Amino acid sequence: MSVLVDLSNAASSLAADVGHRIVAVRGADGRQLSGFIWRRGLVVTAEEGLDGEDEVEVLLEGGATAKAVIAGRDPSTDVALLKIDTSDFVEWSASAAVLPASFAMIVGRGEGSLIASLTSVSEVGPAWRSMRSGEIDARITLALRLSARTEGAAVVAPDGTLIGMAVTSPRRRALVIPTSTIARAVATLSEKGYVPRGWLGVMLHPVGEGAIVLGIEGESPAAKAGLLVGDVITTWDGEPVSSVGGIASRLASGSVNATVKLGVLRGGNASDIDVTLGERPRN
Amino acid sequence: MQAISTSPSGNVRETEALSGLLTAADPAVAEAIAVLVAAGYTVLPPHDHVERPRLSGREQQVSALLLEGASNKIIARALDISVHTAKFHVTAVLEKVGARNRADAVAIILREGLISL
Repeated sequence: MSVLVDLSNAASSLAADVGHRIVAVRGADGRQLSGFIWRRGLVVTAEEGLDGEDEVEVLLEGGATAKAVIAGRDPSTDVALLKIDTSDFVEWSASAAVLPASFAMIVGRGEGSLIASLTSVSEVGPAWRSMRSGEIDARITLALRLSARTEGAAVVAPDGTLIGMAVTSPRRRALVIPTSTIARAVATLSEKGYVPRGWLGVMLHPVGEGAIVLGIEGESPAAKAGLLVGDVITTWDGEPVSSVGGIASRLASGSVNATVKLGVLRGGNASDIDVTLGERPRN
Repeated sequence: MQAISTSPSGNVRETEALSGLLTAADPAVAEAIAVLVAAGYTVLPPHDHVERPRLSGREQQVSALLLEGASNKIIARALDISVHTAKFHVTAVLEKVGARNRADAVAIILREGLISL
């Protein structure tokens, strides 16, 4: 009996300990989600929960509200970065090994109080690419469903370190964007304000075994490498690409300036073409 | 639509969808596909009878900015249009691709190859 009481008390004090870093984020349309102070002056929240606004309202511990400017958004990792005046906060430390069935706590903020639930990690898989071509360092899912208000909440380990940010997967499961992935997005967003994407410069259309080139932009990496309209791209560095999405997802920010070997079918003959990817032009 | 008449495999449904694709594309593209089709390749739209959404030039520019998570204000600034107009284009893109929200639109645009990659 006392073990349960102790566990319950420990869980409540964990939530209270991190509570001063947890915020609610309210968009212009009144929609509300959660976020957390990453370090002094910076709040991380879920990109998908924001609309097209430039400014949002942030509710802090103790009921204070503040205007925050959206400093950058990365749809590929679902990280949005807000700038706000805060007191001093050290950067959150990342959790060490996270294992299936490890306890985890999601901590978000409602109107006046914290929204916290003790749950467990259900799955810890390898790095994966999101549908929006983000490189996510681990596939971590939680054994609970998120409410709209806990989208963007902090996922905290029992030792108070940060496992990551809670977001909803396309299959409606609670997914964690790991701390290391957030750190990378924050670094790029605070430097550039956006996350660059790799660029081939081709208009593609799905065909059975790959993607056919329907158009090539002048001066693009594809044009320089000698790709031609009508080429069917079938492999990327030796891996089959079965869809346009498969190519899009490989054009993540890390691909800028990388040289890749495309397997191409031209007039029925297979050949390899090396392409040095560029950075997608901004307009 | 010279391309269609030379297709060895085109049944009616396929032909209609294909002609939609070809009129949307550059004439040089249509010609290139015609060559492929004549050589015996089958060029099919993504799904048998689902129309591929066609984005206007402006909508493609807006879509490219959505990929970076640009707000309406940033889209407006980048394309030198008003925020109101930017919002209008974003709404049009969401409707055309059948997206619930901006993030959903990004996923669909990438999956279907609706802009240059």
